[in-house]
Amino acid sequence: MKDVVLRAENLKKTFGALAATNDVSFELREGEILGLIGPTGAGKTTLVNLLTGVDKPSEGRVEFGGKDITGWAPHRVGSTGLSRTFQVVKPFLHMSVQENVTVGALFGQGQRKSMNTARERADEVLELVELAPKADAPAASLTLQDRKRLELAKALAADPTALLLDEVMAGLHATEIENAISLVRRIGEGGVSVVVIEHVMKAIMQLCDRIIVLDQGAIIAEGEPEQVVRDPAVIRAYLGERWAERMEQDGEENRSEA
Amino acid sequence: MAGMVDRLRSSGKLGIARIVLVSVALVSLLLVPLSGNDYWLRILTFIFMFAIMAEGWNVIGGLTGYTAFGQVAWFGMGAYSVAIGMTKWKLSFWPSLGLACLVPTVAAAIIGLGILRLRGHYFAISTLALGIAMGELIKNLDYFGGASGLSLPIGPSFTYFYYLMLAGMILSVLAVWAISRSRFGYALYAIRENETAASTLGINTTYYKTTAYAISALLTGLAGGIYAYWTSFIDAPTVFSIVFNVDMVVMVVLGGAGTIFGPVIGAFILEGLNEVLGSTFLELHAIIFGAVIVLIVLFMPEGLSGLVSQGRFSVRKFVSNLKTYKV
Repeated sequence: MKDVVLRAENLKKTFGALAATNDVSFELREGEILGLIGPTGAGKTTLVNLLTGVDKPSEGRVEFGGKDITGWAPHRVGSTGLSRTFQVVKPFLHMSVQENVTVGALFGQGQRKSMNTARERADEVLELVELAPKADAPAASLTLQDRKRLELAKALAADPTALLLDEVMAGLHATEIENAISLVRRIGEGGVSVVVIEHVMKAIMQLCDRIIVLDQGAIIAEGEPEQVVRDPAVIRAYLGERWAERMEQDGEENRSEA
Repeated sequence: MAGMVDRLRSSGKLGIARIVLVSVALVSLLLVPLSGNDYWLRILTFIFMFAIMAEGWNVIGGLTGYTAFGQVAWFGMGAYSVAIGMTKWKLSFWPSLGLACLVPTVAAAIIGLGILRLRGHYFAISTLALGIAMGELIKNLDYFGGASGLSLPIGPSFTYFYYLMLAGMILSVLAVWAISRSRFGYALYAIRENETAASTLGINTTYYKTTAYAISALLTGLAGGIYAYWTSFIDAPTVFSIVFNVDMVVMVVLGGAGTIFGPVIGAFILEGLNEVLGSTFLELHAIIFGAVIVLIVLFMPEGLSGLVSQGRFSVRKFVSNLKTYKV
């Protein structure tokens, strides 16, 4: 089995009486694309915030590349090779597309000291995410699809070992989603371990080696995509108790007919 | 103040036209003392002084996006460093000027670690308080001459200070130019644009913000240090004057925040205007000044440099700004 890149152990985050993340443990292995799904409010983004130092966990541990990074400041996490994107994209609006990505190449794990090598890296990444023709455009002029790509490009330019993608496909239409899926696949093939947080099930099913399902802050299912989406607990979380019962009955009828 | 955070993307590149323009301006400025006109020499020295302060503010306010309103604390600190160095410690001018750069830099680094945790209005208010508190403190300490101020040895000629301030201004422009195209500068832009995103990309925001703040204090302290020896008398109300505070911010916003030459252009226009208005309309000049600020915000939030680079005076932008700011 491949080495574990990122490990969460019993992560817990409480906001007052609410446990946004409750005793979450999982592992991301080298070269893996791991899906993280769950209904709105399940605690997916909070989990990413805990992993990247944006929020401090109330309890538990985060291990990355064999190091305990629990409670590290975001910039230390970012420069040690764990990069992320934001669900609500955060482009540097008054900078050009290339300048945005150059920032990632200058800092992050790469820590390039020279502006020229950073720009070269930025151009490479822009080529990969198909934003090269818009390199000189101000980030403020980009469409949502391109802003999502830019968000990805910034994180990629930082040479991450692992990348946490927080809903990079939300708000995109069907063709754009196809593009995004192939892009994430290329990133994975490039050797980066990826956690994909997504509501777009099509993307999850096509991309992920393994899926984790969060509901109300806790992991309720884990496994291969095909198996997880049939899990009654998952169906219950998404569609409610009655639907889950009906699905089970349908399943039994199908089996008896067969 | 929306324009405060805008940076001109083209500002880092020096076109041929700009190089020619700057060279001509520089040569003319170098030749001015030959005219022997002390009045103009004095005004231009003041303009250079404000240009240094404006570039200093530009580093923290324009490049980093932290609207500091208490920069006069560093100006006063620089002025008092020279005064104390020369009168109490019997140092010559140059070592004292070294202190005028060093003391504000160190002070800003230490204070910055605390107040740069604040953002937006909270940061602005705390820096404003810092500037006022520093003035009150100095005024009440006998060692610093208390309310009666300090007299310095009489300095060399007006021409000497003219060239000294001019050199300071050139230095400050070069500093901003170097920063704007460096790794350090990119960290500052990223912080200005989105601090959370900057930090997750691996930028140690505390370190970069504090360094930017210290550099802005260094430049402002330099201006204060030269000023003290030039006027050969300082007291707290003058060197910690709140008017200086406002002036340097307005100059940068007028010229173009985050640009290289914007602050200098702003200093020339505003200090020139100040001179004309101050001598002709003594009472009205604050009102006209205020009107200028409002007009900048409404018509050209990116400052004069923005106007030039966009090549037009945008009526549509004016209307949309009217709506945005609910005027």
